[in-house]
Amino acid sequence: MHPQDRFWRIVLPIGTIAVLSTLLAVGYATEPDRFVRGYSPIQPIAFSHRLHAGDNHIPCLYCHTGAERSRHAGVPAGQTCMNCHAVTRTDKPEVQRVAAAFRADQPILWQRIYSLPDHVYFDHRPHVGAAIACQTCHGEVQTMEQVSREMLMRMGKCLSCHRDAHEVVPASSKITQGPTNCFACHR
Amino acid sequence: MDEPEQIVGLPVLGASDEADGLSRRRFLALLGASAALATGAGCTRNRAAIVPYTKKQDEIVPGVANYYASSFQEGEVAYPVLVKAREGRPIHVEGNAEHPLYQGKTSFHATADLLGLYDPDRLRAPLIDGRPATWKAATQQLARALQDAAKQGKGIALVTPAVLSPTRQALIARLAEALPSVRHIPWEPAADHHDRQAQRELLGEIRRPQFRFDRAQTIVALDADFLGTLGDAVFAIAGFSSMRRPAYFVGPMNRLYVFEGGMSLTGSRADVRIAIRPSALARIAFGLVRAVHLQGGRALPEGLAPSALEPFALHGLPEARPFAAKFATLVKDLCAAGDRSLVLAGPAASVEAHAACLILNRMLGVQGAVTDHAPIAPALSTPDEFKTLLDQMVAGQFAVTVFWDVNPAYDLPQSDDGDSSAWRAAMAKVPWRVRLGLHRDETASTCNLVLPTNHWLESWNDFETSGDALTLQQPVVAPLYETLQGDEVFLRCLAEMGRPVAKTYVDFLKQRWQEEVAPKESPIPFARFWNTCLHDGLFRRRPEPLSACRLDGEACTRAATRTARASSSAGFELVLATDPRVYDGRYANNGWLQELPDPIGRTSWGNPLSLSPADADRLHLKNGDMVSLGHGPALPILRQPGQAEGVLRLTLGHGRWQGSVATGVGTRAWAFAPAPGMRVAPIEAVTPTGDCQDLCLAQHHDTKDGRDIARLWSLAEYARKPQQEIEREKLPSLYDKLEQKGPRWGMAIDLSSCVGCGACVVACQSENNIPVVGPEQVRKGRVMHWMRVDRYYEGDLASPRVINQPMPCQHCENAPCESVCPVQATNHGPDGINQMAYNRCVGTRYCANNCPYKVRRFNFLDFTRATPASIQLAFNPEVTVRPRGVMEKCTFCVQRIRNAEQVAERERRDLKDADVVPACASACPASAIVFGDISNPESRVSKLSRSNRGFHVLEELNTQPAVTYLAALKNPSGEGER
Repeated sequence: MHPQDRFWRIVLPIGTIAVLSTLLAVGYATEPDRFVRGYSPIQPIAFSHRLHAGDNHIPCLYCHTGAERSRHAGVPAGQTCMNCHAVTRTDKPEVQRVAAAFRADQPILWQRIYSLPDHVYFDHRPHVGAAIACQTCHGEVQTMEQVSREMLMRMGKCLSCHRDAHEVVPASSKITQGPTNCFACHR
Repeated sequence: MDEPEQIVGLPVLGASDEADGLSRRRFLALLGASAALATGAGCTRNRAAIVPYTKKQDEIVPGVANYYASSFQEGEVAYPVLVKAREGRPIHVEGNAEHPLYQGKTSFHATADLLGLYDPDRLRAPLIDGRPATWKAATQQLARALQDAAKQGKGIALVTPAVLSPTRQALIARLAEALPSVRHIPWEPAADHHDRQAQRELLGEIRRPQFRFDRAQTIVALDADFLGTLGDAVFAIAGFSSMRRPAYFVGPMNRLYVFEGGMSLTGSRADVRIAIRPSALARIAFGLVRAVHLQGGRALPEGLAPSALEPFALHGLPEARPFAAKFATLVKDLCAAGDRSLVLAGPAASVEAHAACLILNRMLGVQGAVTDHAPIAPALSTPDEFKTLLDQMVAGQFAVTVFWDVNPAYDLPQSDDGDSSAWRAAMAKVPWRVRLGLHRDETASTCNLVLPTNHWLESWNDFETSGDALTLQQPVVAPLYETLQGDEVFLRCLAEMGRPVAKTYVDFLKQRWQEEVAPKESPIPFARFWNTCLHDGLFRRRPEPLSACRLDGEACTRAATRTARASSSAGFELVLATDPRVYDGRYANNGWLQELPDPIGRTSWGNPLSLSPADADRLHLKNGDMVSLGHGPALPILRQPGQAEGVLRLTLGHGRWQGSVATGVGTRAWAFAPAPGMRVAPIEAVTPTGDCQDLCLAQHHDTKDGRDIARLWSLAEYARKPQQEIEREKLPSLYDKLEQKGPRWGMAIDLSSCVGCGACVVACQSENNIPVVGPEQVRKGRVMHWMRVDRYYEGDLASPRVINQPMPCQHCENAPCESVCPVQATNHGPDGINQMAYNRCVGTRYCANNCPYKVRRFNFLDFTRATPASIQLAFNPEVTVRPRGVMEKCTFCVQRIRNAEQVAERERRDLKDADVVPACASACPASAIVFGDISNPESRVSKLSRSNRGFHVLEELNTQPAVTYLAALKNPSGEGER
């Protein structure tokens, strides 16, 4: 085979594939976690949002109390679970584990699903204040047995609503867009 | 001086910075390795867990700061503070607005001492003979040692700082009851011992008057740095500045006369400043007594013979003769102001000068008018008593000495790290040397029982801050290490000895408050009273009237005669001044305070010896040249404009040899003191050694070079300006006008109120996670302060006028930095803030080059990674920590703006004028910084911006800054000054 032929027919395609697959592999491996949709880690307690938020209609803010008052929505203290589970469903093994952890003053180490880089200061307050449904970003949590990530935590995702908010705010809302300047979220 | 490499608290910096010949091969190897590392790092995805509380904390909402009222003691003053805590972790200290006197202002030392809590050098567990021990063993050991000493009839010395806490006082009394041989020695090395001696001689008791600078019309300071280091500077600055701020147009202003040798912060604010040797102060003061008596017709105190004042005719004094005109107006001002004047002397002034001040204030009737109710000052040992104590230790009279939060091994003049010092001799004769303190410091290393104490943010206490309020100190965080509060240690000892006492110090404190402080026959239960006091941080009470004390006329005459007889020396006089940053050395391990430049000398990390330019010229010395003073270490010099000829000035508190930050920075000035408490030392000759050292200068231009950067007007000049609000005309611009939405944030800085103390710099550093870079980097001009306070000299450099100018980012409307950024990392927000997006920045530094105000700071190194892990706990979680290679600058505390917006929105209201207070404005004791919406014509900041004193820095560049400065005003006496 002519050397040039070999180049065109073998070296170039294989080389291109090799380079591309390396890039893809490295890209996949180094991609920040937050860019992956469907990330659904196994939690220390098999807590079902479908049961609590869906079937039982417990409002999100009952447990995630910080969303109105703080930047962070927060994960409830063990005590919040015990508000009900001191008396209800005490026969279930998962509930017993929660109760045991509470009695032993041991926190439950929930696996973080939504995370942001350090230079992003997302604030729940204005979003809840604008009556944007939690499901807009977090997905239909009330249908999830095990919570998985619905939103890609990319800046483009933030900006798409901040540029045109009419799809996410209630129809009666006067809000048409969110701030798009740097210091709105970065500081 | 040691080599700077040893000085830095950030050991890794030097190495990584060098562009050492990196070979191509090595570069490629590194490149490959870093690529592999990056891939590896990417695989370990950041899957951190969320850790909730188990029990719901009622007062803590994650992400929302809590504030707790507490108090901070320094020397003979206790400042009320408000501690900001996030998730139970203290991150910032501000003033407590509840306090009737301080009104939300506090000492910047309180703000900076947050680092003391997280200091990695803190002691973590008790040590007996250098070996770690349990607290049980340590307290048993201490109790046994105390009891044995009492049984043998040997002395027990308890050396503490000034005790301002009535409860601690009660505890010490209990201890003395149980162990009669306890001798309590309250020791403050930096206290004004001369003042105390003069009061003792003339009044018979020592009082602590609260000077009301907000009422004083004529102030005379005899080497008294009341705005910087003389006791309660916060209250002094607030009061003084309130009289320097004509609301809009020419109004009454106080006039400050300063006589001093070196240039202090107070001297830099003087309307009339006379540079003079400290030995002449007493004669001048008595000269004023005589002049006020003769010309003002004020009666001399009973018993002071007018003949004793004969030698002090002002026209006859050689020191006063060149300034006859100034003295004439001074006397006239004093007589005219009468009880609205104030004469003060500082620690460098002799006892006699202090006596003359007491006489003058008495003659002018200042008591009650300009000084408030003067409670009895906390007891302090005199330097003589302290010396006797050391002699008695050498004589073997003491079996136990307890050093509780004092560091005599460092601050005694005799002690040094040599072997034959008096200190070592004393220590060798005391079997049990007990150290109660925070750090492994000089004293701790000579002690055989070392008991780590709580930081003040982990402690309970109460303080008598002023006549009308008793403040409380409460722990904001549980002890980080195995430490106990000192008071608690003694309570445990008393329990070991079988004495019935409260179990913990907080019980003891509450018990005492219930018995002695809580109003009797009040229907409010004590628990509620206590909680209210704890919430407010203080208990307001009516001050008990104190009887007026008589001035001993004969003692006055004796002081005058002594002054007349004193001969003046021919050589140099070395003034040992308290350092405005590290105080007497207790904050020397604090990176923020070490890096804060001296307000006048503008040097950080160290204490050069300042001398007058005339003397320096005579000795052919330039900045940084090393000199020897005959004994002690060689010192680098700083040419200080305005310093008196024949006067040398050195600040105390540097030259420690323990502590990872403090070690080797500067020179131990205590070594030059002739005796404890003496603050002026005669020096025969200054000899250049021929060596030179690079000073850590934060500013290299001393003058404005003829440019109109900072304005300073005399009151007469100001009166000639149009007396109306001004509307600044806008120059045409090539750029499009930026779209603006909502408020436009801006700032007004009143240079007339600003004294240049540097509180804003420290508050900014704490609020915005600004790293400490160390002396080596400061020398390279890589200091990271977002807010700096520039200092300019004006006029004749022998007696210059001084302007201080706080310089944050100006948030220009036509920002030169924005247009040159190739990646749009810095741009303009709709609220007028010049934004900086760190994650976009690629580090070209074009913006810094193009910034005419030089407020942009570049992370040349990974300063944060070099910050010890424990200190990273002091970081504000609301502000990004910047990595290497990124530009940063003042953001107008955007995190506070965003939070205020959310709070207002939640309360369904618009932002109010004072809703957003940036850290610098909140910390400014002079209230010189006002922040707000400049698009609202009714806001305080826009009113100030329209003041006829208002100007922009480099206005001609048409950058249209959001920061308006208000020209500084001086009130000189007419004939002499102009």
